[in-house]
Amino acid sequence: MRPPFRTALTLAALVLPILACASVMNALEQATDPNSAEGKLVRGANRLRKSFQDLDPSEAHYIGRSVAADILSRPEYPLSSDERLNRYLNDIGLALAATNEDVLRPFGDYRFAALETDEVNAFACPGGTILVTRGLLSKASSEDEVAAILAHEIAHVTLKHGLAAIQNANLAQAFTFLGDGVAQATMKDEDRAKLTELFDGSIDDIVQTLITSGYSREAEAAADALGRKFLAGTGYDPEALRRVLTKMEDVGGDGGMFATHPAPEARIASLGAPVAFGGDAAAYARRTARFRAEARL
Amino acid sequence: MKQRKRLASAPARTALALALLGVASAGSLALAVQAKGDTLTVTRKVTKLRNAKRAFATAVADLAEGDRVVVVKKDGAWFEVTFSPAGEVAPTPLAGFVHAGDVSAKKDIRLSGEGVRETYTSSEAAAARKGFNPEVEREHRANNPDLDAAFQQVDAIQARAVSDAELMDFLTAGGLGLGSGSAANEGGAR
Repeated sequence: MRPPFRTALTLAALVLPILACASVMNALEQATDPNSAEGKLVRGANRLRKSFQDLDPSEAHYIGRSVAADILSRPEYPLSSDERLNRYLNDIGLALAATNEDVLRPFGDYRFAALETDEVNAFACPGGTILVTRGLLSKASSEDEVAAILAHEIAHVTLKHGLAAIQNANLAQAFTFLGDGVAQATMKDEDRAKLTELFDGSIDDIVQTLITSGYSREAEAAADALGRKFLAGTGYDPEALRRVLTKMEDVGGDGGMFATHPAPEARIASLGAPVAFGGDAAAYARRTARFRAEARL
Repeated sequence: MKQRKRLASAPARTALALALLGVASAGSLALAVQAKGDTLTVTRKVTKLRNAKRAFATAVADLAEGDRVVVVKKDGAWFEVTFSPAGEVAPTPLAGFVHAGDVSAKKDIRLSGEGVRETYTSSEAAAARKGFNPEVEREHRANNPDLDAAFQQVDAIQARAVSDAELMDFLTAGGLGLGSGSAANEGGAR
């Protein structure tokens, strides 16, 4: 007969991965001796990866690089060579990231670039590479409104919406494979090929969502709400987001963001009541002046 | 270490504790990974050990993917830590702060294995092979040579250097910065 503590251990090992979140499992790992039976059990359970949340920062980085490359390889999304605009976008976006403690901090860092197309669109790649079209930027008439666009995209990265777009089947296969198939000192050719196939599938899932199907209405509302919080955290006017959306609603359009996002009026409605902004009017004017100088849209 | 010995010598009690931990709330347990003396791994390609728990505080040392820091205490979104630079014969631990988003308590964190550090331990290298890593990207690129130009553009985008000084100047000139948002929002409508 098995000793009772072994039975309890087995039960715990089976139940824990289902019930416990990553922080709990990490806590258990800290609390147990790695050479003990319970330590080995906890570590074994910890190695099982279950969802996109279990992708580590460096993995998100390499996934995001390939997503960005896929988008940039398409003739409809040429990278802008407007160095002044690209630098300005990076200053605004990195200012948002640096001044908000709850922005996800990726393996590399956030980087922003404009795409030379009239299409109204933006792409937040996992790992923090964010591409925004001139068509969308042209809806902004102040720095605070450009910041609103970038803050929404940073929120998508923070909420891991891109990684969440990876189909569970692809992820489950990848995790199973990564869990046991490639532990060798040197990866075999067939292992590398299989892993790359799963990587390709994950990239396709994300690109398909970014370009064609879009995130859920709930995900967009969450990114709007968090983006508005980021704006306030930096000192930008959080209502700038409403103004950009109102401009999109007034001008209208089709394709791009109009196809992949909820209608601007629905996003405006989900923002709820306006948030008061007591920012310095003179500073706001200075920001708008530099917007006119740096972003000739 | 005392705690570990006690746990190892009483496996039944540990099993019970494991089961209880499994059904308890995650919030309170998350604190357990932030105890003094715990080792955390840097998960960003590069970051800074700073002399205060705020962005742009003076850098005490450069940290790179895979570097280990030892927790002194959790302090809001930051950890107060010590860091012993590698390569010194008798390293003197440096004290400072690192953002909680820059480190992980996971023991099998998957590193890229190709960061700025020159050497990785065999266990780190093994973990790196268990993830989507640079080797997989290279294979992906080899299979899709038409993406070469686009990857070069991604490299250029990610290689852009933006210094702390540039960002601080940008924030200051625009009347922006740490804390300016919360202060601003206490005022009335513009």
